[in-house]
Amino acid sequence: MYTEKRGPARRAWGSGLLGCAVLCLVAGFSACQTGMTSGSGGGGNPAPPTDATISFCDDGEGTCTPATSFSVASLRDLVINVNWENLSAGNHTQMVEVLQPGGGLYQASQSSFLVSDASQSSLTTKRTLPVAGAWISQRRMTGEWSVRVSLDGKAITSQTVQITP
Amino acid sequence: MNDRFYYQDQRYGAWRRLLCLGLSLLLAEPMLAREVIAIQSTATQVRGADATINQALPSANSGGAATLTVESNNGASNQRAIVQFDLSLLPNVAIKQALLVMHATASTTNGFPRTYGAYGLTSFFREPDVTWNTRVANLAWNAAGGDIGGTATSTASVAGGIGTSTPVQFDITSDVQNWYNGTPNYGTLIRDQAENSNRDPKTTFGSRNGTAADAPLLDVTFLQNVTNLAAVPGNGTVTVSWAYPAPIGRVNFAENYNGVLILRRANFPVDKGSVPTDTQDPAMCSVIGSGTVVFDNTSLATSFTDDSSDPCGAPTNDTTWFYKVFLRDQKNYYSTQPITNGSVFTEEISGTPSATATNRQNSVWIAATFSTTLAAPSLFPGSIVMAGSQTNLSFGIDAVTGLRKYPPVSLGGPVTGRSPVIDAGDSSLASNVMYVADNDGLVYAIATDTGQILWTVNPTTLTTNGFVGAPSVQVKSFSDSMFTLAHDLLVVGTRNGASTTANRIVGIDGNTGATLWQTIGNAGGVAKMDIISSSPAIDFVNHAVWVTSRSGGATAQPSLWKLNPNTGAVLTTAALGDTDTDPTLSIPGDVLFVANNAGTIFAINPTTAATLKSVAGGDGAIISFPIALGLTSPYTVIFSGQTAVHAMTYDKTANTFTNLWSTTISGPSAPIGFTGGAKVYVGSADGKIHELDAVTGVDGKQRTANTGQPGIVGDPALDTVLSRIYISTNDQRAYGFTFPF
Repeated sequence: MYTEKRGPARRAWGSGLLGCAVLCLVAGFSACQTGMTSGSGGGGNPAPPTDATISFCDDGEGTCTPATSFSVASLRDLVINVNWENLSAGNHTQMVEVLQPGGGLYQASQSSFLVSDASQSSLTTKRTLPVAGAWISQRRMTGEWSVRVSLDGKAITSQTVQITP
Repeated sequence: MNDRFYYQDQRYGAWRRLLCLGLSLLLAEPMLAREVIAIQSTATQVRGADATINQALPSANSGGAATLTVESNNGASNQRAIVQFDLSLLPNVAIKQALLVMHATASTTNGFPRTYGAYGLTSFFREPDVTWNTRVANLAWNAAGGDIGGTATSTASVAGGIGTSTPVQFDITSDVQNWYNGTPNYGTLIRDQAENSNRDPKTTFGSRNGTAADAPLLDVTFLQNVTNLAAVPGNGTVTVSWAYPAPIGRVNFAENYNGVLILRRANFPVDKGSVPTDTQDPAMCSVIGSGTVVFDNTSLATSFTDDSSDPCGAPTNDTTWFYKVFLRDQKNYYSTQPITNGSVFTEEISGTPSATATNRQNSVWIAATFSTTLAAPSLFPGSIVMAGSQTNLSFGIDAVTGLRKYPPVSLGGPVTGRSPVIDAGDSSLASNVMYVADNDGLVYAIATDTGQILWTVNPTTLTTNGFVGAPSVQVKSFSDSMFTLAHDLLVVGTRNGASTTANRIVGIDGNTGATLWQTIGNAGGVAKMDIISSSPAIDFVNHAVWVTSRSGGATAQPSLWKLNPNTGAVLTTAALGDTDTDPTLSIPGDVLFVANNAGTIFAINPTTAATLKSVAGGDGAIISFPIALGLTSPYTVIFSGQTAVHAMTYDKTANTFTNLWSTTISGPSAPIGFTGGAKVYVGSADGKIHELDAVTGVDGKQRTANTGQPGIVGDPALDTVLSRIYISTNDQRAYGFTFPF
């Protein structure tokens, strides 16, 4: 009896809830879609995606010639250059993670920079990792290292580098 | 009729709106777990900060002001507010939600409403220094106005015409979770999302220096970790025990801590990303990442014996088993954080069962460091262990429990040296203090009781002069009248890898951070100075500071420097070839031992810096430093080469080195022992700490830290009060064990 009386009303409320939930989800999805559309520049050709390339050199050399393999016996500093392309204007945060052979985190550093306008969409950042006299040389942490770079919380690229005995 | 239907429609519409609102809230707000605390900034919170940075006054500091301002102005007069909370109440927690509440006390009317954004700052700053242009000392932001990312963590709308205190709330949960997961806490910046307005909309907020009720507030929802975690191995068994923490904050209704979930892994710690999902109860023996659920308790158990009754498999003897213990509440929220980087800080412990009682072993605690760290931890014996990290953090760990004394101290750069700690009774600061030098060139005094940064300086004023070695301290109270400075003196050498000639040694006032002197290579009559990766030796007997350096690959360039501590004047030098290790004085101070990168050990006359005797170690470059044991000559000198630990005696009278023993150890760390001790301890690249007999060198026993990836164990530190040995590793953890093994 009680159930029967409440039944139609509950169904009506249930329909209302369902409709409301759908409405909320649609609204949220639409908002998300709007944000995405807005972010892509709206209407014209989409901006090329942000990209980065990572290169390495030894700061101990005057020229800092890029290379992919270094001897731990002679390497003083491993310079990690990240060359950013197609950056959008505004503030950005870069995370550089240095992973030791085996994949464990050796060092992480975060830094921010400002791209004042789209014409300055290329930028190179430099991070120096001490090697000579540091643990890498003292404990002979040789093998394949890798550097992982993200921008504004999004993984962009990674690159390996050999540190040889 | 129409009126009636209109009334019914209106009533139905009201209910529908109410339900819709409720459902929206239900969908938007996850159920929150456990404890909640509101942390409101005050001027007395030693690790808090707030300030306004003003584009129109780019060099002005407002660190002590009673208000904070956010302004959008097209006359290059934008203003931004910076807030940093003191989270000392929450050292060992997992964050579930963090809401930043700013209290607006006034706003103008033109151009409102405004949208303000909260951004996580990505560079170290200090409240007494921070301006629109500068973040600390003489260091500029990478981008004037504060280093932030492109997207606000959260935004909030602010109305115009505010005349009474009005809360403005930002959800900064992800930022606060990151602060507990290895990212430095540099605070939060609030700015107008549409700066450079020609209508000059401006809002004033309360600061920690103004009206207490209007100060910034952080409303945190969290779970704590278990306490007193311990493991006792037996024959085919490991008993894990723990305790439940007393609540710190207000307990949410029906969300009491009610048990634990334990993951187990053989040989290696459970990966940091292996964590249970909130609100779910995983099945026994199910696999979560690299761990297996071996204990699933909701009845406030305080121990678990892992043995042959374990349906997931008994812990086999002579294997090291790692246990990661998640505290949980009645709704299955766990002491972990639901973000990609996992929660390495969740409490862990290890035990090795064995049929032979003497082969059983266990760690007494495991603590997170978030990066590879191989320097010996610093310590106040019996009290606190300090470990630096390469994620710009410094950890204060309770030596007894392994829990953090306070949230990690966020610094400007990686810390790789063993930072010296000075007891309050000895320090000229009259405070338990640690002096830290980082890879990015900043030097800090940190109160080890609280984690408060007492001062920060950039002593060389150059960003190219980073520090790899730690400072050493000439303690005023230990010094005689020949030491004329008023306070303790820090001495630290630079490691500018781009120069083989112009590195420098810096003398810093321990009380103020003021640079007292600089000895600069290849300038002012000083010889060329290559990189310095070591920590100096303070020679209280001969009134000198000894520093080692590389020698530019040249045989004639000095690599051993003797300086006057009062002035930094070079007293004498010696060319010993490239040297990255610390110099070591004998206990009476009558012999200085130096080990160079070619593996040669030198006995040096500390009066003249002349070589008394040298001997080839025969095992490649020496690691970190030699140790010299004995109160009188002959001294026992113990050092690690590339493949073994070596001991020899040096007889000053006969001026002879005599080999004692050599013991092969895979990739050894520096050894540690003490005069009168029967054992010498050394880390290795096999994930273990080895206990060697000090007389014979026999490698009698080992303790397993982590044999994975490979497991490289750093230089040990000995706590003779608790009979514990502490090490850091390349697996982002520090460990404590009891000794002797």
